[in-house]
Amino acid sequence: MVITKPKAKSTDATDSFISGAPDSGNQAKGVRKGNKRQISLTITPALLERVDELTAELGQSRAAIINMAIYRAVEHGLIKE
Amino acid sequence: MIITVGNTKGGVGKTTLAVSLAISRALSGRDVWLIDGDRQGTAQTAISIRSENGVVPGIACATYPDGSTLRAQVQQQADKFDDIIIDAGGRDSTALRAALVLSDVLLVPFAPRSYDVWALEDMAKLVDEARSIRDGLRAVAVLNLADPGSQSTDNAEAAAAVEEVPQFEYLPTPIRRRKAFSNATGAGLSVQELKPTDKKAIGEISELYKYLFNIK
Repeated sequence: MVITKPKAKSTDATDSFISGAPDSGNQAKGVRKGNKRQISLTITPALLERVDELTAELGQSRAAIINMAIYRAVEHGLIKE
Repeated sequence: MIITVGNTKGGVGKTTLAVSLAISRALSGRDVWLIDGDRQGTAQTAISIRSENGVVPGIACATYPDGSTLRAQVQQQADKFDDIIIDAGGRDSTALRAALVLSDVLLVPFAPRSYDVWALEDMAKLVDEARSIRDGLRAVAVLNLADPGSQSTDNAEAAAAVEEVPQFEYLPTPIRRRKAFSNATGAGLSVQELKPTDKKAIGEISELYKYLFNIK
């Protein structure tokens, strides 16, 4: 049996104009906040307290500290060498 | 010629005009293909009623709510028809965008109400986007559901409103709110075929028709 593969979606300007409509199903899910995306995060009170201590120490916002921590984790790995 | 009757706003009489124009064109002996780009499929239903009642000429009608299917089908089948009329739904949709890519003329009906005039701005943005990827899209706005009174200032006010949206050319052929239009298209007919005859309705749709198809 010969299996025909469906044509890959093209990326030309006309196609992206058409698929840019709200009903195309191609829209990114979630909430946008400017250039960022909003996510929800749950955290233990104990850990949050330590985060807050760090924010006070560094004079940064919670979001900034969490973002920096995540950045370090994805750039340098979660486990300390 | 490919004409899209479209507006991102609903309830402005797109389907009524698309069905009327398609039938008028068929009555003058042209091969017409009416495409229903709305998921509700109202134009398709109207044409089904027409064919069930055995009214001639029959109208070829297809429903493609999905933009890429609509585009592919029209590109493939366009040569088989003299004219294609696309009815594109009352919201920003892939079908409406595909229609903007394909059409020679975009006909945007709007009613003489503030909400409708505001919606012209949304349509203008889409027209700009479409024009950035293609040439030669003529966009015209026509007043629909205008006040039937001959003293009405609707037409002048609408013309002034459209002047502020330079993407559109205003067609001075307003269609007024007449029972004949809804009764006719509800039965899958054009006002020319409706009995009893409404001469004013026929006159209005004929004027619009002449302007659209450049008949002197």
